Amino acid sequence: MTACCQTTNGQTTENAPAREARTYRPAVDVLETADNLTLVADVPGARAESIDVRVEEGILTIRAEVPQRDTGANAQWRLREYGVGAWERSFRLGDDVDSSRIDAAYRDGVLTLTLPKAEHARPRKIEVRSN
Amino acid sequence: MSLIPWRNRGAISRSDQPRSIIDVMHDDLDRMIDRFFEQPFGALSADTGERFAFAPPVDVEETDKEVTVRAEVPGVDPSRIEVKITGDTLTLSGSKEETKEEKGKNVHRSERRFGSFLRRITLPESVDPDKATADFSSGVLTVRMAKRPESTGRTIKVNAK
Repeated sequence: MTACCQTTNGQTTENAPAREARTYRPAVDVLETADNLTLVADVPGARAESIDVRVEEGILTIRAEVPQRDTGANAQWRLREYGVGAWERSFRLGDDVDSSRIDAAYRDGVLTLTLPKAEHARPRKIEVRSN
Repeated sequence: MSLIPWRNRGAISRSDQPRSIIDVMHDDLDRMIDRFFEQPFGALSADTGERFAFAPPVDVEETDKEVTVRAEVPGVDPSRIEVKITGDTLTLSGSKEETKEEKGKNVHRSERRFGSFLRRITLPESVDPDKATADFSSGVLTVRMAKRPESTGRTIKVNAK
């Protein structure tokens, strides 16, 4: 975890390109069903191929690059609120999630991850036998 | 179940542009502040006083021929978006519904906003509502409006009685 302390070097802020370097934190919902955890994130303006979902050392990271919009020649900005740059968010996974079977789908600006529960974390119905 | 937000960015730092969590928080904060000054009281409708769940962030861009407005509306059904041009005001409204999968589940975290939204934008130039188009893609609504041809000015004759 030494990397955590190297991130703040003065250069980063000085050399950062004005807008492109911004990283936003997408709003997420996390829902649980008997078999899965579902993570739903709003990442408007991304493309499915530019979304990166990975699990490293138990950390699930979703990252989406939002491409620069094609502006007309001589275009002038009147209002800029909608962020361009990257969306990024990380979650620590418990060992009750089967990280090898995570499914990701992107539609209408919403990324939906389905995280199946590990076998041992699933609800199990125990049959009651009668003699 | 455990799915815990993780903020130690060091563990996932990229080599090209290392950024600390403080930088990222600043970006989020900047955005919140920008939005606050844009709409300090949320999306309060002036004519009905009705409260809306949220106001989507927008970009407004102008060229010599057209005005383009882009709004972030992820997860909104495009058929439920209404785009209206009245005079120099563009009104975007609609609602964001929870999908079936999201209803009635055990919710661990709920940050996304649902419900009706409204955003009114005063256009920088007069536009021709008949020459406007609206497209929805990847949760972004793009409204393109052609500007009215520049008025050349007219001399008004003074009638003497």
